[in-house]
Amino acid sequence: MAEKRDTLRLRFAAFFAALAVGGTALIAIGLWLGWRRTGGPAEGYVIAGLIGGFGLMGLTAWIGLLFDENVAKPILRISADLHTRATSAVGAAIDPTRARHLGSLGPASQAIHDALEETRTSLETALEEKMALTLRDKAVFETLLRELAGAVVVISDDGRILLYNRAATALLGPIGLDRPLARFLRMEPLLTATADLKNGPTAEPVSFLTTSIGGNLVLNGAVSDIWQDGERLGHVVLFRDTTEDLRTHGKLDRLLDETLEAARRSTSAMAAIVNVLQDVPDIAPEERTRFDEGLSTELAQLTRQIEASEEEEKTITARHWPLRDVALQQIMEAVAMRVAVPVSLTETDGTACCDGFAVTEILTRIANELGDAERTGLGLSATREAGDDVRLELSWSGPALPMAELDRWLDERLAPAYGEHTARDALRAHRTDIWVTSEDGMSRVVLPLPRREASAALRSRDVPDFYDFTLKAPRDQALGGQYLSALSYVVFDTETTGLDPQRDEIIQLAGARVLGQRLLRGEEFDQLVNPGRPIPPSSTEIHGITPEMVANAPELGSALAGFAEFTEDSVLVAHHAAFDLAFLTRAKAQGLPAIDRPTLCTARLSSKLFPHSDDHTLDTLARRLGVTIPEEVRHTALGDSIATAEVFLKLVPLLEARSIFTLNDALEWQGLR
Amino acid sequence: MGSAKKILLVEDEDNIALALEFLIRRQGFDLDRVATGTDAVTALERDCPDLVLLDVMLPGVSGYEILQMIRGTDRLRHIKVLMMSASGGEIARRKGLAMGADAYLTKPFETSHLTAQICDLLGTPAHG
Repeated sequence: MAEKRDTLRLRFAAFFAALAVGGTALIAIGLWLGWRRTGGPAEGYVIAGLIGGFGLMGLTAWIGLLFDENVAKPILRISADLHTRATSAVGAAIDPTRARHLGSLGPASQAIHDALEETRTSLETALEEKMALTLRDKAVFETLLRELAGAVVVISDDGRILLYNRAATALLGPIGLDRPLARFLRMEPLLTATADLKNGPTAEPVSFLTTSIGGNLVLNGAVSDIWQDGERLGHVVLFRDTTEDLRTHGKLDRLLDETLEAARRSTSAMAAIVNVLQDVPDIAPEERTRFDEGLSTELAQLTRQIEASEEEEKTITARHWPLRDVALQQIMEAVAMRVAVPVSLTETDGTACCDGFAVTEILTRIANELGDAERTGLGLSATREAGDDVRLELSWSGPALPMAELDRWLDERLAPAYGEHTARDALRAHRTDIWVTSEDGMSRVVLPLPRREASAALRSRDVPDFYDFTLKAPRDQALGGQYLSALSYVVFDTETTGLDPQRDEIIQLAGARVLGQRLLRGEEFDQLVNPGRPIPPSSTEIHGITPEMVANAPELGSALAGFAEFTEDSVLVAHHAAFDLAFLTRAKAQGLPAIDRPTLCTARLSSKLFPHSDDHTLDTLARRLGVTIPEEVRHTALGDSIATAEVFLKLVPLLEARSIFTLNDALEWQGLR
Repeated sequence: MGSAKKILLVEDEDNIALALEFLIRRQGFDLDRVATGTDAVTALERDCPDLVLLDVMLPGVSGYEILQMIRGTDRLRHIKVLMMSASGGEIARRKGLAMGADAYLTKPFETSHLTAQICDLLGTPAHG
């Protein structure tokens, strides 16, 4: 395409050159004919010919240049803009200043852009409407899986991860889509279990016991196959951390032993004193006082021991149940969606640290149990109380729920995913209880959620993209031959102490994963690095990283080791990649972990795709492709990585439109390997 | 003693009941003791005490159910309820008070504290 554009400019140039040469030739012929007819000194005709010829050529060249600048180049730019919009969804309007000398071509291009945008928007709206129902089911499925206490991983036949949930991340570490499960788990027991699965969709799951790759976790798992139309698509693997169970059991056993021992000691002492008092009725008053004091002391000691044991038991069991910050509104909406009668919700913001699924399950169950004509106006609210406790309240007009009924089903199993655990177990793990009140015809079920810290492993600022079932085709060819639209990428950026890769140092290294055609939220690498030298204030002004921020950060070697793991099996992408690669190459030369991956550069790809633009900065490219970069994340390594990733995703269809389909095609075309 | 306030003690643990009966009677109250939730319900259907000293964990009907019944019945609603439980923690106390108990004591407790609470709820002076 670029060649065709260059041909257009060449054609214009040839046209003007032909005009100049033809005009000059006509002047020469005219003068020669005039001289032949009238005669006289030839010099005059030659001088007139030279002035006319050069004048005409100069004039043609000048007009040609003006034409090139004001007509040819704008036509090419508009053509590039239209082409970009035809192959990729770009919302930004076409720059009208580009077509100011082209008459109605500018408005016409804008009209094409508007019509295309309108068609796209109406298509999207129609699709969204059609998909609303599917999306609701999908939302329920996503919430259920994400909040499920047990770890779930779905793998393809070749062992790549197609789905995982939070609990799986908490157990196995930084797993991600398309990564081989074998990097996190000893696969042999799982493979043996898979072989034991009977063929067919109705086969029972097979249990297995394995360990994490580091060997620090003992995992109890069950595997089953996924079948569709007689074809096996992969396996569903469920895990439970037996290590934690063993640890908790060990701690509870020890606590029980200690408590019993202390209780035996105190009760023995009290029994001895009571025996003496019974056996010796005429004991002297001063002796009796000493015995009474002894009884009191032992009693106080026993009471203290019981209280201490209770406190310790809380800390042991609290760690056992996965709790994390959940939006209260999300819990309430999930309950409302699953209750048979309408529930009015009191809007609320804020979060509670809890097992959202368990809380939803408990409230849903109560609300559904209330299905009674006498009970009306079901409402659900969440309020924050003193001490940051949250109080969830289900209210209705009509008779109270009998405690006996509530107690009975609190002792039933919570949900299939929780195994033997009951709703009461879940309440106990939250250190809470549930009760019923009734006043002036209004009844309530109250569930307070005490303030507490989320389990560290489950804290996350973002909801990750945790499944992609389109990844089923096994990778049976070399990386270079694979399609750009199916590869796994890490789009990365570095922040440095300065611009000289030979002297300056990396102070931040970040990357975002792109899988196929989407940016994976939540699968990110973001690491500050201690450069072991001062950060010039001029560079702090750009990226905002101060010496204090990196004082306790790891050194480059350790950051690169983590980054090497994060980028394994991926293609690297960066804007002005040569700059970042120069730092990585120097690090490798210094004996630090090597990041040797094929690399695509969005700046180079842009200069090839838009050869008539001189500006290929990330901001310009983002603007051209309709990508918005929030100002607060610009010039942070992770923010720039995400922006570059979004730009890259828009570039891929443009590359494909130029018949650049595979990684090798792209590497060759950009000229950086 | 005809005007003595009536107390119903609902406690399944005989030895605790033994001590509590002794102490409460010593304060001059008229005391009935039952050992199960079911007996407590029967006693409340028959009689209307001034105060119920109610254990939470009982065989059969739980202390919370009895409390719900007292607060949900017009004839009994005015009865003072002092709950006792071996299940510790702030949340258990909050549950008891939220469901309508007038006071809540966690076992083990000082017996003098218990008698003071009873006298306070019934508005009678405590004896030695």
